[in-house]
Amino acid sequence: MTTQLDNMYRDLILDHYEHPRNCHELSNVNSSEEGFNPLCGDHVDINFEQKDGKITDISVCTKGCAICTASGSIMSDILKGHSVEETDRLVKEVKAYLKGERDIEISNWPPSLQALSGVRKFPIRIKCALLPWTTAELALQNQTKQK
Amino acid sequence: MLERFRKDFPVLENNPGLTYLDSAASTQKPAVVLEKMDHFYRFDYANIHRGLYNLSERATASYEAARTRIAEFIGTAVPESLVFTRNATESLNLIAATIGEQIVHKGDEIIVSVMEHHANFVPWQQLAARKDAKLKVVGIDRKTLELDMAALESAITGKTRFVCCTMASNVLGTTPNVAKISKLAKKHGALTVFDAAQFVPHHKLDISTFDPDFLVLSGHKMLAVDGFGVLYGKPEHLAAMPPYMTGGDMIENVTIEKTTYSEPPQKFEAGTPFMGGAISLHAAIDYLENIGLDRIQEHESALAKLADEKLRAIGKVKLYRKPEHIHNGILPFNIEGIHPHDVATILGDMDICVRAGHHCAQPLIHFMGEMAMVRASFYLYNTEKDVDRLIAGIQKTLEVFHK
Ligand SMILES: Cc1ncc(COP(=O)(O)O)c(C=O)c1O
Ligand SMILES: [Zn+2]
Repeated sequence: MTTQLDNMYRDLILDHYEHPRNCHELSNVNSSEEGFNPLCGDHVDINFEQKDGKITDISVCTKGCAICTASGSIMSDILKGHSVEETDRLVKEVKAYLKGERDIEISNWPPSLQALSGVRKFPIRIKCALLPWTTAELALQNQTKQK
Repeated sequence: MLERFRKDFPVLENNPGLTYLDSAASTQKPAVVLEKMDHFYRFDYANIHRGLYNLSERATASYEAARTRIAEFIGTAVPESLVFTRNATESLNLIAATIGEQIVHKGDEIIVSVMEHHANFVPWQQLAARKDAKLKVVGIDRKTLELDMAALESAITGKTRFVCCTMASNVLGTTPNVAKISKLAKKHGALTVFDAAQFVPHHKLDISTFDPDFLVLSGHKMLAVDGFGVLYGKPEHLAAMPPYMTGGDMIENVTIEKTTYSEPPQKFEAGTPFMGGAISLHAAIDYLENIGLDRIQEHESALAKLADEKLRAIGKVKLYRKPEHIHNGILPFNIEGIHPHDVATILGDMDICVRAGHHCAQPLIHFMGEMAMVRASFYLYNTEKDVDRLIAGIQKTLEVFHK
């Protein structure tokens, strides 16, 4: 096996795939969005609970491959407690990084988020990792529009 | 057994170490097919049916010779019953948009099987929606993966206008009994549309034995180049159908007020066609028949059964049916707890090409209770070594996922 493959399917990623975090009912849903990856059938369902510009709770439920599921699970762990503004910035940064659009310093990212970097060597799988993030971005946009 | 033919395929020669198990998506091309095409463009090329000079006549003759050869190959003595298209998808859309529009009315029924490729599903679903007609979907037996003939029998009525069915499922390899389907449809006055795209590469086809109304295929799945397909239609249907597209090459007479159309098949071949595609399919058929479709089917089925047996021995692999129901090289499977895309990525990293996903057959994948499947498809150029490499790849996949 190439190290690139090793690097994508790290134990941390596999752990998030086997035990995805934060797929649960929220008492209050302030914004939500569903995302599909038509190519491979990945499906993600995201709900946010917000209060005073902060994300107080999040639910991410994924049906899909290891990369998509792990990416959504990792995202759900990280976004909780952030302000909506910070979240939006982080989501955009992660998207740009995964797509390789520009050089982004990731050493200050949480280790779990850094673990997603392995996917960059597998162009067709980048979409899988991106799906939860683009869906989260849409969910937050929906919410801003509703206001 | 067919090992010696492998060297005929430049892509396999130029990619040593490649295990190509995605022929159901598209086959590789033998050198002779590419050479015949190349020769045509170097020696005989001009636009057809137009030029009053020798070169154009030669080009036309080559193009029409392909029609005659393909007709003979599928079992009809009437070359004019073959319309050349871009692919099976276009052929199916042509049927739905012409005779489909003509004969389907409100309250009528169209029957499809649940294992259709989207190409033989969506055009009918959309036609039914446009006409306020009913789309009836016939299932399959979950154990044998064979078409549920009893369900078809109870679904068909005097209101059924079309029965549209694959001749070989691109996901399961299932080959429905087309003679029975055809007979049943005739009894109820329904027309049959058979999707042979996945059948012709692997099985001998003789339409004279079941007399379909329409049948489609795609050249690229049977060693010819991509972008060339065929529609067979019974001459009386083709004669009564309106054109699909209009323009050059399909008219008899055009005045400012009105246009009359050519006879079939020209009526359905508007514009300059893909001549090289026709040449390539002619050459591909010669190549296939030289080996013999019986031998090809036997060879690829044996490989699929061997793979089935070895995957079973690993355990943790879901194989959906018993080996005795394998009739060609198409082998769908899943690994417990590992998504097909991850399987395909890990195999792909080892240069083993398989398909993963819904295979353009979402209703079927759903019916089978899955989100996606892995499919290995074996063809004449695959060997036992390819089976071994697939097994090694699956073992690696299990390792990566600590299973
Ligand atoms: C059974 C079947 N029908 C139709 C098609 C569509 O063929 P094409 O994409 O060449 O139009 C395919 C291709 O995958 C197929 O497997
Ligand atoms: Zn995916």
